[in-house]
Amino acid sequence: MAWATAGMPMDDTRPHHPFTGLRSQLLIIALVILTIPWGAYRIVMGLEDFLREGEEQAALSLARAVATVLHDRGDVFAPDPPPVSPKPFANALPLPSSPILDGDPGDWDTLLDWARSYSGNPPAQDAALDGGGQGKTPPVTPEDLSFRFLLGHDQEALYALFLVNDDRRIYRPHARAGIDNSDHLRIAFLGADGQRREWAIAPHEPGPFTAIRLVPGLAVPVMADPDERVRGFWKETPRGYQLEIRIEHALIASGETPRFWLYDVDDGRKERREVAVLEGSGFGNVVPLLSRSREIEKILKGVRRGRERVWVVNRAQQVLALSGHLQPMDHHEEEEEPYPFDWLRPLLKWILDEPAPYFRDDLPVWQEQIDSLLQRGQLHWRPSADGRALILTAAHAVYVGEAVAGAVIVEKSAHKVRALRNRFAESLIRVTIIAFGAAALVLFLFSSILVSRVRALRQSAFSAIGPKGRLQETMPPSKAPDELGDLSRGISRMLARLAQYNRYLEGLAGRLSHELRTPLAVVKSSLENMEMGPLPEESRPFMERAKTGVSRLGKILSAMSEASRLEESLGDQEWERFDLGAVIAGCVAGYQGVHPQQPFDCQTGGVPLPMRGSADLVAQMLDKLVSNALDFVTPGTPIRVSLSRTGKRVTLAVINQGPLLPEDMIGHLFDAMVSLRPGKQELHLGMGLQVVQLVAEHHGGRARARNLPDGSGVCFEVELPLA
Amino acid sequence: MGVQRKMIAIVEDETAIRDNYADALKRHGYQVEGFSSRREAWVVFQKRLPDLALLDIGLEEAESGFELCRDLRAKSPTLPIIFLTARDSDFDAVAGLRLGADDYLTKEVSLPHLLARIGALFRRVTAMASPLTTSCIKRGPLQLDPDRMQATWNGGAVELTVTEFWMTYALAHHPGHVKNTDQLMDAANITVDEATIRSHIKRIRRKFARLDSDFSDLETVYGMGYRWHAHG
Repeated sequence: MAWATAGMPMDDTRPHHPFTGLRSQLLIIALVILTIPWGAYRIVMGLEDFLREGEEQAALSLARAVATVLHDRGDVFAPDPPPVSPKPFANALPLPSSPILDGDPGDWDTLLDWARSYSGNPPAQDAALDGGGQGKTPPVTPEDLSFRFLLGHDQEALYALFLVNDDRRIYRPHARAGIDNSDHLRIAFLGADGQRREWAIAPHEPGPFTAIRLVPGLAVPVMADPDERVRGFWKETPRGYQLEIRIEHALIASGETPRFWLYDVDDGRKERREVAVLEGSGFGNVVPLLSRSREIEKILKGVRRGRERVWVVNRAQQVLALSGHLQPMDHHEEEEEPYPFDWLRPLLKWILDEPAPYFRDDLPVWQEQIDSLLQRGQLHWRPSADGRALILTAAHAVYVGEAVAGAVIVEKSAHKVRALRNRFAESLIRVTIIAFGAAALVLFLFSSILVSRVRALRQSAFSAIGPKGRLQETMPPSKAPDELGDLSRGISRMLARLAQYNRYLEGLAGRLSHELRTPLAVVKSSLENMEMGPLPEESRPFMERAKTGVSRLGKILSAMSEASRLEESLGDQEWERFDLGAVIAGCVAGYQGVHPQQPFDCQTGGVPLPMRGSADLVAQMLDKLVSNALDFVTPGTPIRVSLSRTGKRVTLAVINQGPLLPEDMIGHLFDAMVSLRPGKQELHLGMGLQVVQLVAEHHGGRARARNLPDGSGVCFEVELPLA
Repeated sequence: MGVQRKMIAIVEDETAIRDNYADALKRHGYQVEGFSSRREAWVVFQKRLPDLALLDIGLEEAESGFELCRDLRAKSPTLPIIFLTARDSDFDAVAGLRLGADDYLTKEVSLPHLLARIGALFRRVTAMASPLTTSCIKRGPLQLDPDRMQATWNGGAVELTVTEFWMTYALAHHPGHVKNTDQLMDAANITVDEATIRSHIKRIRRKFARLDSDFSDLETVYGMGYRWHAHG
C-alpha cells in the first residue's frame, strides 16, 4: 500500500555503516602515519649493529693495550708454569685477603663472579635465576628463595659466602631452642678428629653469630653449646640476607669440603624448603687462580674503563689475573631515571626486548674457546649461560720474545649497547606515539569539523525545500573560502535559480490564460455577431462546431486559472467556526439529491466536530472529491463519505469502488494539471485535486490518496485539525 | 420608450473586440461610438455624454478605466456604466473602489446576454423617471424593485449591480427554496463557473452586511446551492 503525500520524502539519509563516515576514513588513513615510527624503530634496531661494532673495536683495543703492556714480561709468564699444587680445598678459591666478617661481599671482590647460583628448586630443576631477573617461572620464584654461594679460603680458615634472596625472613624466637621453625643454615663435614660434625646457623636476629653444634644423627636437632670456631655475620638486605661464615681449617679433615644446606621457612612448619649446595660444584675446566699476580691486577685496574672483565691467562690456561665484572654486583646500582609518560612502559617492554643487566654467567670458561679464540679470530659473541645476555670476547696474544706466552681476554656484555639502543628507541617511540596521538586527535577534530560542516550544508539545503517539494526559502550561502564554501555557494545559487524558475512556471498557467482570454473574446464575439446576422444553412454546422470549440477553450482557460484564483481568494476568506459534521452531511444530502441513482453512504458519527476555517472552502473541497469519485465509481456501488476523529484531528474519507490508482501516479495526484484520464475525450485538467490539497493545507491539514488494501477501490483522505 | 436611438459608448483598446461589440449593438438598433483610449473618449464626453457606457478596466494606461468611470459618474449620477474585464477577480477590487458602475462583466459574456443587460438598464432609466409600479416584492426588511433594479434593506439602499440584483431577485422571489448555481446563472444571464457565482454571492452578502451587520438571510446550502431565508 503506497501512501501518497504530495511530493517525495526529502530526507533519505541512511544511518552510516560504522566505518563509512568521513571521520572513520580519515582516521584509517591516519594510521598510515604509523609507518613513520615503525620506520624509525627499524632504524634504531639497526643502530645496534653499528654500536656493537664500536664495542668490538673498543674491546680489541683494550686487549691490545694490555697485551702491549705485558709484552716481554718473562717474570709473569713463566715458560713452564709450575704444576698445580694440591690445594687444601678443591672448591675454595684463594682469597686476596681475609675478608672481614660483616656480611658484605665487597671484600670478596672479583671472586664474586665465580659464585654459583641456586634457586629454591630441587637441584634437578636448577633454573639458574639470580636475584633481580625475570625468566622462566620455576615452581619457586626467585624472590621466594634463591641464592649465590661462594667458597674461599685463606691461610687459616675456610670462608663461605651466601647471598640469599628470601622474601620472608623468619628468625629464631628468643625463647625457643628448636631451629626448625625459622630460616637457618646447616653445615656438615668430617672433622679432623674423624668425627662427623654438624653445625647450624640460626640466629635470633641479624648480626654476628656463632654456629651451634648439633647433636649428630638426631632427627630433631637440639641445642648444644655454641662454638666459636664457626662464626660469621648475618646481614639483612632488602631482598633477603647475606651470610659470611668462617670455619677454621683445623676443624675440617684434610681434603674434605663441607656440605651446606639452606633452609627457608616461610610459614611455620607448613612451608619449608631445603636446598643443598651441590657437592663437587667446581669451576669447570678453568683452573682457578693459583697465584694471582698483584702486579698484573694493578695494571688491569688502571687500564679498565667501563664494565669489562679482563683476564690474563698463560699458555697452560691458568688464570693469572682477573679484573672487573660484567654485571653490577649490587642490585641497586642502576636505578633508572623515571621517564616522562611512564605509563607507556608496558607497551615499550612489549616492543623492545629489554636487555638484562643481570644474568647468570657461570665462569666455567671454556678451554676450546680460548684456543679457537686465538686461532680463528679475535672477536667472538657468545650468549650467557642462561641466554639472557650476549657477551663479547676479544683476545690478544701476549708475546714473550717471539713466542706466544699467554693471552689477554677482554669481555664485555652487550648490555650497554642494548641499553643505549633501547633508551634511544624508547624515547623515539614515546615521542612518535605522542606525536601520533596528537596528530590523530587533530585529524579527528578537523574531520569532525568537516563532517559537521557538510551536515550543516545538507541540512540547510534540505530545509530550503519544504515538505511539498516547493522551494520555500533560498539557502544563505556560506562565506568560507574553501571548497565546502564553494559548494555551499553553488548550491545556494542553484536553489535560487530553481526558485526563480519555479515561480515562473507557477505563474505560467495564470499568465497564459490571461493572455489567451482576449483573443478568445475576439473569436467568440465575432462568432456571435455572425450568428445574429443572416447565416446560410450550410454554414450553421460550422458555426455550431466553432461555438463548441470556443466554449471548450473558455473552460480550459478557466480551469487553468482556477487554482491561482483560489489561492488569491484563500487569503480573503473569513474564518468562522462551523460544525464539520453538519456541513459534510448537508453536502452529501445535496449530492444525493442531484444524483438520485448513485447510492451515497454518509457516516459522520454524529459527534460535533467544531472547526475554524471556511465552510465554503471545505464544501468546495468535498465537491471536488465527490465529483472525482463519481467519475470513477463502479456503477451501483455506493460512495462512502466518512468522518473519524482521533484526538484533535478528524479524517474525512471519500471511498469508492472502482479502478485503482496507478502506482507511479500516486505521488503526483495532487499536483496541478495532473490528468487522471489520459484516454478520454472529456475535458479534464485535474485541477480538482490540487484544490483539495490547497484547501486542506490552508486549514492546517493534509490530503492523501491510496488504493484500498483489498484492491477493490480507492480512498481519498483529508486530515484536518479541530478547533 | 424614446424614439430617438440610444447612444452607447464603448471604450476598449482591443480593436477587434470593440468592433464586434459595436457591430452587434448596431444591429440591435443602437447608435455606437467606439474609443480606444480614455483621452479620446473624454474629449467627446465633455461635449456630449452617451446614454450608456461600456468601459474596459484594463485600458492601456493603468487605472485609466477607473478614473474614466469616476469622472463619468461625477458628470452624471444616473448614467448607466458597465465595466468589462478579462478576469472576474478584478470585480472585488473594482467593487471595493465603489466606483458606482452598474455592472461588471467579463469579456467572455455572450453578446445576447450583454444585450439583455443593456436593455434592462435602459428600462430602469425609464422606470426611474416614472412613478413606482407594483411589481416590487417585499421579503422582510428586503424590498426589491425589478423595474428600477433597486434593492433596499430596512429602507437603506443597497447598491447592487445588475448581475447581483438579478441573482438576489431570483433567490428572494421564492424564499426558502434552494437555487443551484445553474439556476442562478440563468437568472443573471451569465455563463460562468461556480467560483464566480460564489464570489458574486459573497459580494452580495457584503453589501447587505454593510447596512446590517447581522445580515444572514442569504444562506448557503452546502452541496445544493443558495436560498433566501424565509421569514415567519
